[in-house]
Order: sequence, then C-alpha cells, then structure tokens
Amino acid sequence: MTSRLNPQLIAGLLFVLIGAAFLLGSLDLSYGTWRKIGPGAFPGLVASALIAMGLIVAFTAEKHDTGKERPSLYSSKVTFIIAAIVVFGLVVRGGGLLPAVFCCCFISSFASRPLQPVKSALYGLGLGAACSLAFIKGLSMPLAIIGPWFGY
Amino acid sequence: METLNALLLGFDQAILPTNLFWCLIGTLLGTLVGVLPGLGPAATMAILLPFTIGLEPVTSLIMMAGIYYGAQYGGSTTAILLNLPGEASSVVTAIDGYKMARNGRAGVALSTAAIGSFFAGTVATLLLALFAPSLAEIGLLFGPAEYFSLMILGLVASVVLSRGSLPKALAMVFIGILVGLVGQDVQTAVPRFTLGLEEMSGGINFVVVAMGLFGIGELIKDLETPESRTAINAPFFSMIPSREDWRRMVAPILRGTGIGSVLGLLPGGGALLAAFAAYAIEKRVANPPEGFGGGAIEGVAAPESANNAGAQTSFVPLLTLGLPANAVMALMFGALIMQGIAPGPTLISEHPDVFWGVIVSMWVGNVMLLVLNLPLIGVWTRLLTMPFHYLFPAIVVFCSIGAFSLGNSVFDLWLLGAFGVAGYIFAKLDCDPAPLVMGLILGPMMEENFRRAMFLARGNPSVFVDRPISAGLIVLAVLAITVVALPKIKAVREEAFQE
Repeated sequence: MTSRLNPQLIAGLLFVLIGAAFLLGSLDLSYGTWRKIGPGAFPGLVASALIAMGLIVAFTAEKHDTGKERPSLYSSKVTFIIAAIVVFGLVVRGGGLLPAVFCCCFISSFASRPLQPVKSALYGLGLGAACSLAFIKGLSMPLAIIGPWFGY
Repeated sequence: METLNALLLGFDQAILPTNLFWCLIGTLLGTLVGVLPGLGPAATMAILLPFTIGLEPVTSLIMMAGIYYGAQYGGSTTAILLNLPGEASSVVTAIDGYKMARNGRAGVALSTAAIGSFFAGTVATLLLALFAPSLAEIGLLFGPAEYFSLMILGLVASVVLSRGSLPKALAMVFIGILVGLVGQDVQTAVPRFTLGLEEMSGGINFVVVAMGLFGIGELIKDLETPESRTAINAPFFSMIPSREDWRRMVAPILRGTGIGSVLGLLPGGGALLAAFAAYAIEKRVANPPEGFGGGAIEGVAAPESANNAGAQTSFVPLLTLGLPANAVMALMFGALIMQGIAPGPTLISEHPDVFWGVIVSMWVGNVMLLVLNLPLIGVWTRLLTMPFHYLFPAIVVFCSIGAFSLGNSVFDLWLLGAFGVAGYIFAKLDCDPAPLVMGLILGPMMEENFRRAMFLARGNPSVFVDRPISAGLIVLAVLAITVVALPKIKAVREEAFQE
C-alpha cells in the first residue's frame, strides 16, 4: 500500500514552507549590488535554494520510499516534555530553582510509563535539591532556590 | 625541538590541578552519558556545554574535549555489552564486540577497545602537534574568498557524510544557515527575521538549537521505543587479553590508527567515517575473513582505534583553519566562541597556552580513560540497568537549566522547546540534524566572507575561481558531491549508513 503522504513528501513540503517564510522575510531587506551586497541577498539566495531542494525532495518522494507508511506522531509524549520545559520557564524566576526542577521533573515523567505520582514527586524533590546544591551553591548560579513567590 | 617546547608548554597547562580535575570530570561525565543509550557525543556535549561557560577558556575546552572522547569511549561500552551503539561510530564495533561478549569474552573486548583507543589517541596527539602549526601557516594565506570556498567544502563534506538522501541533507544545511542569520546583520545592523522580538535581535543561541535538536528531540524519539535492554550477564572472565589476542590485535590497531588519523584530518571526516573504513579494510585484509561478524577481535580493535584517532585529528581543521569538520566540532567551535576565542590560523600564535594545553590534555584524558575506566566497567554496566523513566526527566531538567543559564533568559527555554519539537519532527522524517548544526555555525561566517570577497573584487564573482586555493577548494567540493551522486557510490553509501 502506498500512501501519498510519506515522510519524503512531508519533508519536502516542510522545506518549501520554511524556505518560503524566509524568502518572504528577506524581501523586506535590501539586496544591494554585487559590489556591496545588502542584508537581504544572501538569505534570499539560501531560502530559494531551500525551496528548490524541498521541491526535489517532494517530487522524488514516490521513487524513494513507496513502502513506508505515514510516520506516526506520539503527540502526548511530545506534549509532556515540552510542557515540562515551558513550566520550568514559567516557574524558575518567581518560584526559584527547586520548585521549577520539581515541576519539570514531575510533568516530564508522565511522558513514559508513569511512575506512581508519589514516587515521581519524591524523585522531583530529590533532583531539585541536588540541582540547587550543585548549581546555586556549587557553581553559584545567580538564582534563588526558593523564589519571591514564596515570600523570599 | 620547537614541537617539543610547545608540548612542554602544553604539559604545564594540562597538569595544573584545576585542569586535571575538569579533565577528569569531563571524561567521567562523557563516559557516563555515552554509556547511557540514546545519547551520543553530540547530545552529551550540547547538554553539558552551558555549564562550562563559567570556567577559564583552556579549562572549559579541556573539559569539552574530555566529554567528547569520554562519550566515544562510553559508546563502545554499550556497543559491546548491549549491542546498542551509543553513537554512530560504534556501530561497527557492535558487530563483533557484542558477539565476543556473548561468547563470554566481554572483558577482553572492552580492554581491546581501550588499548586500541589509547594507542590511537597517543599517535593522533603527536600528529596533531606535528602538523597543526604548518597547516595554520597555510591558513594565514587565506583571504575572504578562500574562506568562503573552504566553508563550502566543509558544508558539502557534512552533507556527503550525513545519513539520508543528498537533497534532504542539503536542505538541512540551508535551514541551518537561515536560522544562523537570524538577528542583526553584522554590516548594517538591520534586524533580520527577528519577528519584531527584542530577544531575537542578538540571534539564536546555537547551544539552544543543538540541545533542542540533539538532546530533547532525540529523547522524545527514544521514549517511543519500549525499553528492551538486557545487559550481558555472562561473567567477564578476564579483562587481560591472551597472548593470541595480543598477536591478533597489533596489526589492526596500527592500521586503524593510520586510517583514522588521515580520515579525521579531512573536512567532514572524523570518527564515523574512520570506523567504517577501518572495519571494511580489516575484513578485506583478514585471512580467512570468515571470523568477521562472529566475534573477531580484529573487528573491535581496528574500528575503535580508528574512531579515536579520527576523533582526535578532526580537531586539526578546527584549531588551525577555524573549520569545524562535523557536528561535534561545530559544538566545540561554539564553545570557543563563547569563551571569546576565535578558532582559526591565529589561534596557535595568539593563544599558544590554549592550543597546546588542549592538545596535551587530550592525551592526559586518554590516560585517565584507560586507567579509570577498565576498573569502573562494573559501575557503568550497573548504570545501564537504571530504568529510563528515572533518567529522562533528569535530562529534561538539565537541558532546561542549561538553556536558562546561558543568558539567564526565559526566552531561551521557549526556543529550546521549539527546537525540541523540530528535532523530533526531523527525526520522524528521517532528516539528520547534523548538517543543520553545521550550517548554523558556518552560515553567518560564509555570508560575511562572501560579502567581503565580493567587495574586494569590486563585485566580480569570478574571484572565487580566479584565486588558485579558492578554486582548488571549490573543485574538491564539486568533486565530492558528484562522486556521491554517482549511482554506484550512492548504493555503497546507503548501505554504509544503514543500521
């Protein structure tokens, strides 16, 4: 069975899309002359080349992997990992390193066969304590262990 | 004599207690992360890079180099014990190494890898010391046109050696270049592709990109494959090779060292190519070749020597010409830049302590690996049985702390997440992220040199082919890409990169 949406085709289209975005962006910039090349020329050139490559990849898609089916995306795993990073970013300034590490560790642990919440929380606390010791006490990172949100 | 003096200068640096200490930390961390399946040298270095910023330049480079060959070393441990190559250059080691382990000769396989790596590392260090200064002198003759052509060659080499199809790898290079151009234009200070965000005007930090692509992206992909790791439980018997083992490993180690040293020097070369080539040649030389694939000690000795020699000599183009030959060297390049040191022909004369210190410390690091790791193999194998669901939250945490600490900026965390998703999508679409990182590093320099060369040539593009060195480099690049596009070689290449 050959699905038209094979990885090659998706990759090609993605390349065209990225190239087009950068090409559009470069149009606002001056291209200059051969002697004095402006800030837009080089990116414009590279973006065009990227679009060309994307087209080649997309059009030769069929020949390459006809047998391969559509790649499956494990969106829940991605979501947990990215959410963990984002929450770290939201908490780290106000909450401090320990709570940030705790949240990050706790949330990301859901991406795989989840640990029991209690175990996972304990692990997060331990990791947070270890990181606070290593990075703030040891490498003197300019950050609070427990931040202003908790009245420190 | 001059070389000797220079090496002595390097020793002075390398045996400073702080440098020894961080070299040890680097090799241990590298081995530790290299042993853990799924994280290769590039990911390891990307994750740990932010934490080296606070150190002195020499110290941080020594540590980074330690992480690099430590991870290489750890990669061969998993290849032998688990049939899981921790990184690409150990793929061929796994073939015979794992068989040896199954036959109850894991100890000998591991010590063979260690001995071969150590010997190769020693020879390659000497070669580096001998040849780097003269190569740097050639580099001093380079003008903007030569540099532009050299970078073209470097990028072409990285494309030729990447997994997957040629147009895809080229596309990845272009994406890397474009991402590298985000930020203020060097010449006109015009903001480019910043989407109006102030945080983007300084450009996108390459460490964040590397961490996202190599660290987070591959981590998510690893989460999909269910855990199926069974460490070899067979007793090690002995770590000490028998007389017969010694006899059989000498020639492969010598050949592997030679092949690796030469291939590492080429742009785009390095550990991966060296290991493959050495294994192929050993198989051809062997008489009879039947033992290969069934636990031949030659099949461990040769590639392990070759990849270590190649890893070592691939520092030569970086330190002398400022050309990172592969993704890992691109990370080293970034580490240098973050320390305010521009890698290139002037590095040796302007920072001799850094240059020679790093070179000698590579040898010191190899001694450490040999002395420390053989007795520690028990500890590493126990680590292998550590469940992944304890490990990966820690990796996410380290990446987050690392990204944040780069510039105390929360914005870098959003970028980390974005490039993590991108890395995962690329992995799903069979796109190798290594060329992207190369483009990211080389792109901005290419643009600058291109513009400068065109200005000096009064707008005449023929400057790139009129100057002999530049023309030679372009010819090499064109040759490389045509050769790879030839149907017959294409088939061989596809075979070689199949896991």
